[in-house]
Amino acid sequence: MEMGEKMNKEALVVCSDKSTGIGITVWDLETGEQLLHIPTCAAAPHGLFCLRNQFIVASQSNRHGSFGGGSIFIWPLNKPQSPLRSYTLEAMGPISCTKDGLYIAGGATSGNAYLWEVTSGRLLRTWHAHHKSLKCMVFSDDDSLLIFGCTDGIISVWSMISLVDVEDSGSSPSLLYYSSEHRSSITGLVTMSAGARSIFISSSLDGTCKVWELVSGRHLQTLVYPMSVTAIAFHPIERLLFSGSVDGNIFVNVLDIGAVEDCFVTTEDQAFVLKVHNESITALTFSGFHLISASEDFTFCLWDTINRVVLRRFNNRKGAVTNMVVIKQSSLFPISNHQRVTHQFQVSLLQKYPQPSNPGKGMATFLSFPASHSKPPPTHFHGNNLLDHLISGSEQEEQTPAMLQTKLEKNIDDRLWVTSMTKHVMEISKHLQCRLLDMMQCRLLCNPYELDSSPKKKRHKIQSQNQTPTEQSE
Amino acid sequence: MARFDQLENMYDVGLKPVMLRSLIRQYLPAENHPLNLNNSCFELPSLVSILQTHCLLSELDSQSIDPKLINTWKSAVDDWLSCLLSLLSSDMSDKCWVGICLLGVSCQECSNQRFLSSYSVWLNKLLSHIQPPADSQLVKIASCTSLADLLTRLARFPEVKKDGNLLAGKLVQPVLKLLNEDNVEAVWEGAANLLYALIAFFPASIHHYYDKVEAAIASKILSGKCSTKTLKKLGYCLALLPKAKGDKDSWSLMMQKILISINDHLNEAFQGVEEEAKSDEARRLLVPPGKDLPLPLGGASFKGTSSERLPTATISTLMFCCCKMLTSSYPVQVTVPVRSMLALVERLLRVDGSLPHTMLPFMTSVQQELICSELPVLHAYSLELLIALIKGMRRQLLPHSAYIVRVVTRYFKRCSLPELRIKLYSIIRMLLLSMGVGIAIYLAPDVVENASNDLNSLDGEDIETSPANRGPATGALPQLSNRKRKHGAKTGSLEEKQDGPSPKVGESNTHQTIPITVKIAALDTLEVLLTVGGASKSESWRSSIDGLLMKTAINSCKRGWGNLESNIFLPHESASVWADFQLSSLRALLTSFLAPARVRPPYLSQGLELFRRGKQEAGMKLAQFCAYALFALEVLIHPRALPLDDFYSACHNSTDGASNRFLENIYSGSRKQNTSFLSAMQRTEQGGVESHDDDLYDRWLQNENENQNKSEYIPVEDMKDQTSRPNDSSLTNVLEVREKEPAAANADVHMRNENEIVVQPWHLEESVPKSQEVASAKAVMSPAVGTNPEGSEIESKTPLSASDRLNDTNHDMFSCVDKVDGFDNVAGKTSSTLPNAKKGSSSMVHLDSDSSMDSFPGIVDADPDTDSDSD
Repeated sequence: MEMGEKMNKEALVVCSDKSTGIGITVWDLETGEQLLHIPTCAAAPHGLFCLRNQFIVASQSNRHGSFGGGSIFIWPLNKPQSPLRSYTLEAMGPISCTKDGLYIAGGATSGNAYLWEVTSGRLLRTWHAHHKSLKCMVFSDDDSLLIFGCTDGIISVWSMISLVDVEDSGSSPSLLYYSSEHRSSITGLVTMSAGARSIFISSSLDGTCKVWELVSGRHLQTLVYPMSVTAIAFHPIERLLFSGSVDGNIFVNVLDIGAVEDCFVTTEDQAFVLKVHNESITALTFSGFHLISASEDFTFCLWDTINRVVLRRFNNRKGAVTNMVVIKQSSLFPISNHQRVTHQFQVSLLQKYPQPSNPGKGMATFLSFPASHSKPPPTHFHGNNLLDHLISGSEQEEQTPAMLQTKLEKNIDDRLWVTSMTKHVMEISKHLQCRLLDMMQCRLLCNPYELDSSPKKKRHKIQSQNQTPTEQSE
Repeated sequence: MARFDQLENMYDVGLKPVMLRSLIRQYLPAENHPLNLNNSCFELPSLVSILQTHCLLSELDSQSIDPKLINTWKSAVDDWLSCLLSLLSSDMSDKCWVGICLLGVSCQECSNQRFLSSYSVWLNKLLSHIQPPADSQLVKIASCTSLADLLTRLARFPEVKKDGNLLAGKLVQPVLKLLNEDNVEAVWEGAANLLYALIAFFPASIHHYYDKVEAAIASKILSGKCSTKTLKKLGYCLALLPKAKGDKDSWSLMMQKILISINDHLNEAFQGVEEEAKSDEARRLLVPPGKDLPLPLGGASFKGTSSERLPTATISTLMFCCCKMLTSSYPVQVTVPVRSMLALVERLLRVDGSLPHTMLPFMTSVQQELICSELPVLHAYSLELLIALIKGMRRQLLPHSAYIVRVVTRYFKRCSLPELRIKLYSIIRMLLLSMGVGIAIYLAPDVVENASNDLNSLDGEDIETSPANRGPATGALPQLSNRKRKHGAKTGSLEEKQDGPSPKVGESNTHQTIPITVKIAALDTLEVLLTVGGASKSESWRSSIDGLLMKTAINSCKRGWGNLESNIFLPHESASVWADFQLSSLRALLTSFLAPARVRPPYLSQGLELFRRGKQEAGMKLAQFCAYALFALEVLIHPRALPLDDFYSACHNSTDGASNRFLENIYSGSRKQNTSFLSAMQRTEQGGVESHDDDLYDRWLQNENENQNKSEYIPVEDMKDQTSRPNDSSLTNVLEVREKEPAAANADVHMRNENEIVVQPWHLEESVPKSQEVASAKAVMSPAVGTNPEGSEIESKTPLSASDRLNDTNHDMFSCVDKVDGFDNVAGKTSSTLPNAKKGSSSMVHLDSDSSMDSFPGIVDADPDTDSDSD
């Protein structure tokens, strides 16, 4: 565990929503150093995430221009001087991206939701998701569902497949279900998959956390707290739910989802409390197995959750931290160290308006997995195949074309040779016959009276017979 | 010299040169000696296998570095190669052929050094045999293959890349000449092999001839006059060709050209079976308005084949080409025309040979027959294209996945050819895996319906046996589930499903039977559906699918276990298909057990029995899977409430499962627990033995004696199980308490930690009621557990009495918890022994079900049941 953490050290990206002057700061969690500072950024709560481990994306809470549009900035982590500044129709509150970094979703205070494709920057869909301001959003673990939490306590779950359907005919409803069990604003959403069973947990200002079954939307469990819950985080491997409250306490609950079927309410006294902060918790996240909590008292703490002690306390002097993202420190290195990674999807400016999709236009992609590129594919030789093939072909009845070819060639050769030989022999015999006949004729004509023997007599007879007609005709 | 010495063994390096020389003598024909082609055909493989097994050409010696030996070997290899080269220059084509084949083998086998020093010589020699004076087809083919091998080996040396490219460049034109001018298909195939090696390993060499290569391949494909195999090879070369340039545009251009060509061919082929509008629409997608039409594939336009025959071979090769372009890697990001490819797929799948009304007068029955006979191939390739698209684009296909779902589900309803159904199932599996639960929502109804139909129908072999065997198998299921638990609506639907097949028997006899391969595909798809979307809105179909899978598994196994070993007399498929079916059905069954559900899997006991039998009786692969299944189900039967690592690891080092390896550890774990909070009772019982690890064994023996005294009979071979069980089963009570009140128990433990590290009085106060709660809960729970074994009376008496005894003692010990000072240790120690306790209890259940499974299936079922009830 320790080794692994050292191998790929993590850094914490924090930002505030109060003023753009505070900007984004990247902290080394082990040493407490500031690794990077990006000025001019103020992101709304849940408005900051790390895209594909390479980009920091933040929705800007301050408005741009007179018409009140918003903006989303994308900083390449290894080149933070030149962000991509995308301007949106409305000011974005919460934003989120899929795990594969292909789609970005954003929610506005009007309740409108936006969905972009990152590679092309295309605005795939905008729709009126809620009546009140969107508070937070999260994609399901397999990126196929999108969950919204709203200030009026309503949670809605949408199917990505029908949201992004290119030829949306309105046939399949995108909204899977919604729930208004919470009586006050949603403050956090966490998804997790316990085996094949996916759940998500919502926290609310009404002082409860609720556990839901992701696909069916069944309400599984409610955890009741004495205070409003402002942030939640789930332990990466254990069944521990950390919920930060308005008074700065962090409650820790053991969540037994496997066993719970209809257990409705569990009480807050089963939780134990992490207490360091004096004011409302604004964000909770995990770095490895260490909890990080941020509060409105301008500090954020790194916790050892085993011994429940604060390992390090950071002071963000300029303002309260509202967003925290844990990234790999390696992604901060300049591009030269990363040149091996050639398969990078491009990131485009996010479009402001939806554009009619051009049916003829294709989709930019990389073929084959990047992993398979690092190693040359295993090669194998043809030769043995051919040889085996030929041999097996000649052994079995079914012959390979090549073998047949050879045999045929040999046959043809043979036949040609035979034909030519036959021709030759025939010619010779013809010739000989001619010669023989000539000779005979010669003899017959030259000295016909010398013939004594019987066959010759016969011949003579024939000859004489032959001659008689000519003589007669003559 | 080494060769006259006695050889040590077959690994002796000295053997190798000797063997090589005798091979030369024995097999390689002398110069003036004729070669018997038939004989050499049979001799060559043995020659090659000797070369390869003994690495005769490797000249690598790990054992000795005797320079003499090295020299001997070197000269032997030299002789070998010079012999080959002399064969190569022989006039007789058959001798030449042998030489070329063996040179190809030598290219693979010889040492790096030798290869690097002589590859150019060999390449030139081989090159001369594919150039004009050469006339024997077989020699050409063999040279192409050997050259391909040479290039493959050459590509492994990056340092000669440049030289390699140069040499490879010399090959391109002769290869093209072979393709263009030779008229024997086997030669084309050989040329395609060589071309593949050139494009794959030395793409730069092709760069100058790009258009010519494209034209040569395209003309062959468009003529469609080769066998499928050759066409596929050529198609693959065409698909890889853009790599020679390696830029974004050449890939897109090639793809566009191929798609346009497919489209044109389809327009011609589908005249009369689809509306004209379709082809226009496809065209519009391919060539955006305002853009120029690219040059046709291969440069000049080729005359299509006569209308006597459908250009199926051409279309399918071009589609194969598209698939390969999508699935093979490409150095830069490319733009895939997803829409037009999907439109192509849909267009093909739409055509089913029926005639639209408007076309009726123009078609003859011969034309229709012609199209119908070729359509399955085209459908298969369009499904392949869809598969390739999903593979290539992966999650980027998300905006189109709804469209794909529509196409697939629509086609599913009409598709009935086994081969196509199998492909369709595999598409669905890929969609489910790549798009997750979101797509499972849309696909589930169709998958369930189709898979149920496929699985419910009988396959050919089943027909004669099924009515007799079906009775007990299906009859038992509803009965069991009724007795076991009240399912409410679920039992009802299950019974309906169970009753369902019986009227269908007659029906499905009249219908066509479903081949077993389709059933395998259906089972695999159900497995994936349960894995990905088991938690989705599955209430409607889950119980029926569970029943179906159980039934299928039972049916698949009732005729004994298949063997995956291939029988040499049967084609490979038929030998293993039955075993594959069993494996698939068991896998699906396991998934149906493990997939999340609201109720305990109703057929768990039957499934367990099946897995146990399979583990003992089946062949290697099946048995391995059955063992795995039992292993996986273990967690389901006895949910692992592992202590939370972070909280306990600080104080307990051996709490994790690793410590369970040894029985001693288990025992000491449980023992410690007993001794720590029951010290008073221990003293009375065991004569005041101090609770120390050193005395462990003594106490172990004592305890064992007690057990023996009290229980009637303990078989010796069961000693381990027996002795560990009583203690552990007593602990299951504690386990259950903890499961019930996990947070409470935890709170105590945290508190304990605090005691050790930082004293916090607030927690101490709270802990008092907590541990009482544990004790009281225990008191409530223990009778329930006690009745569990009593309820099943058939089980062996021994564990019963033992556990009863310990249950009693546990009552005692919990009653005195209040008096014990160290009560706060209770929860902590309990949690530390949790895994142990579980292990003990699980072994008990195993034994129970094992012993009575065969004779009393119904009663054993009560075991897991009560388990779940007590949760």
